[in-house]
Amino acid sequence: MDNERIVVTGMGVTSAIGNNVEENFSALQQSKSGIGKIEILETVHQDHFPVGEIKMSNEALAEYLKLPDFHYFTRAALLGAYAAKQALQQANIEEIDFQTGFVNGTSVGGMDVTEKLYHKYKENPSNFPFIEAQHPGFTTNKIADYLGINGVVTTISTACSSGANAVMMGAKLLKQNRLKRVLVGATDCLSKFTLNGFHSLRILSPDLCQPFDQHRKGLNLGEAAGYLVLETEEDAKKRNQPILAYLEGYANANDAHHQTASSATGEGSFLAMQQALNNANLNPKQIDYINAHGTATPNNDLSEGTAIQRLFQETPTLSSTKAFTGHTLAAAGAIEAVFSILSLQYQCVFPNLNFQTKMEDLNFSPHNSFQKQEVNYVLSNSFGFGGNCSSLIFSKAL
Amino acid sequence: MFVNGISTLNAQDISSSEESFFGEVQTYSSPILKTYFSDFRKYIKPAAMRRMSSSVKMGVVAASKVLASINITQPDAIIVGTGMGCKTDSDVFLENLLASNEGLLSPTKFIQSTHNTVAGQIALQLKCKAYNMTFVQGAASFETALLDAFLQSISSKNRHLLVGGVDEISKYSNELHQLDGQLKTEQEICNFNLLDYASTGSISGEGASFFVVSGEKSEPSYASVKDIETYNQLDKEGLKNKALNFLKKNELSTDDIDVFICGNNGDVNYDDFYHSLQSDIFSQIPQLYYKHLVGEFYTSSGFAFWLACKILRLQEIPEICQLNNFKPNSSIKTILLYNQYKGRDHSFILLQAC
Repeated sequence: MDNERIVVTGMGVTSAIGNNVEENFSALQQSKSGIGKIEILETVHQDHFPVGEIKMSNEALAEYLKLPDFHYFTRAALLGAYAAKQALQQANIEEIDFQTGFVNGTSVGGMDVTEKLYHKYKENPSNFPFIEAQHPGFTTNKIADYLGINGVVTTISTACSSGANAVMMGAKLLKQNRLKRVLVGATDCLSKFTLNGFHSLRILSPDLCQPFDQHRKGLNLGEAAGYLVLETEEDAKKRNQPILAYLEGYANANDAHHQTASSATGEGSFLAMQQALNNANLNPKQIDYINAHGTATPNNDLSEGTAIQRLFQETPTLSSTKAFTGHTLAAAGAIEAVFSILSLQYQCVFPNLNFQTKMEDLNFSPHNSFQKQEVNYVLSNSFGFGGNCSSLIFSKAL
Repeated sequence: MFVNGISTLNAQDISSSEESFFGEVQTYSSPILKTYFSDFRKYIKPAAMRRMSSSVKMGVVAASKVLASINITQPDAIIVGTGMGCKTDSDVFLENLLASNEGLLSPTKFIQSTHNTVAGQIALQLKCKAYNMTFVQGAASFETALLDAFLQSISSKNRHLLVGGVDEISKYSNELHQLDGQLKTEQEICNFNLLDYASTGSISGEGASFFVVSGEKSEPSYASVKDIETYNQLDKEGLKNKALNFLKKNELSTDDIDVFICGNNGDVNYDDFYHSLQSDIFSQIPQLYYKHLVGEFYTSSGFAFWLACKILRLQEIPEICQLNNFKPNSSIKTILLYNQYKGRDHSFILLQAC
């Protein structure tokens, strides 16, 4: 039950730095960012804001997934199905039954089709099936249908911490013996809605983003999908399935400060990290690497950095991988969970690209090169609108 | 898990009295059932209310009411289910974006458009730093929020968890839902006769239902939640098997169910899911429905949960919700809820008197 250890046995990812786990790792290893000019998203801001875009059209994704002509997948569903399939394959889950659940995260779900068809639904009855794409569960259902998951399926939408929260919910379902295995993660595609939304908040950087840099100008948006297969250690061992990592602890807390801005002291992030450590029964000194939320907005990095300083007497090796992928919103917590597990598997830490100048208000600098080092415990942070703060802790497979 | 506090807002005049279900029952002649409650000022400061969308207002009020009813100032978790989130604000931001061809936009509506705005605003109002979660799985949004609370109540018993479901009416969504068959198109519709229209779709509603639940019983608790199950997709044969298994797993048989509450919404294409259980394994017990009172919305089943709690407390069933003529046993002990929407997001909730 509650003391059951939760393990990761499969991972899948697609992001601006690669369409599978190996490609993502190789880009991380080579410090190769995926952020660049907008090519696929149709927007007037094409030349204004660099993004982490997945250079695969919806048609190419649908063809790869062998979908029928009228499939009505949103882009987030296409990306999600693409990445989720990898995770199930790696975990060697061939037969999906009611003991297999799916907890998906997404922030705007099918917004890509909503913004295209908003005034055009009436023009053609073939647009009608997309009317339901306005609720996020539609996108999740498409992925569930593609994978054949009919039992427990739910969607979490807590903005940019959705992916991390999906991991947490999946773990709870396993610990209380509600499921044998659960696919957890998140998907979000680029949309005019989010691009213009973040622009209206004046937090998009016109240049490549610089997490934890004194002169950071804001974030670059990205799109991605990332999934993990979770099961109990006992079940994985029973079927001789290799364990990739342990999910050691997790917590969610609320900043209760402002709908979109984080508090100066990073109260919510402090509590999330502290409670995740308690949940994992670890002390701060045991964390070897922090994969920070690090969006490169002036507000986030100061707030998160302050909270880290408060909690850790000596800051562990820390980096944000947002300068590789862009901020992929709901998917961020999920793909960064994958990156955290890669750090444990390959005993390495990833660079915080574009960093130049230490922040005056912080006593630490992020790590800025790919480096081999001993990593036993990784802390991954994800924070979202609504004061939503989540931390996950993964540990090395034995 | 015990239900220690209940609160609901919707198209009906929900009685503030502990002793009754509703005030005068509200009838509607259009397929849009807006919330009856209007006294938001009593619960929200005008300055805070100015920017709040209707789902935020409904959610904040339902949450405040239930917390106040059992004297809790700080819940140990805030868990919200919402099918559509803050749909109207999201629509407004998108309309402005499209009209201006991505011109300069005010961030206000974008800020409020996030699906977890209600849960976030409740936390802000209460200055509550506890666990805060939002589930957005169509008609299983409230149910998976409740499932999250259920799992937490097992692993840590002595916490007060605020859990609820909320959805608002969006004018444009209603227009679109008449196109795709989700909303009935008859000019005049009397909500009381909802099941008499042989047409596709249902009537649209809105509301918020919030509860305080805990692994520990308070005096007096309304009900104990024995179990919750959701299925993303089932066929009718599978549905019957799952219903029977669900009872078996909880060491019950169909004979143990005193009241069966279903989400019949008058959609000719999908009410068969309810009929298949109502005319078969649960044919000999009192059957209730409720969507004629509050309309169909993704979290309308939160109202059914409220209704079940209230029935267990009052030990009577509201006549207006009865689908058949069976009278309940002298003591109502066990209630089963079943809901689905368009053949998806099937859910069972089992409640017992405590």
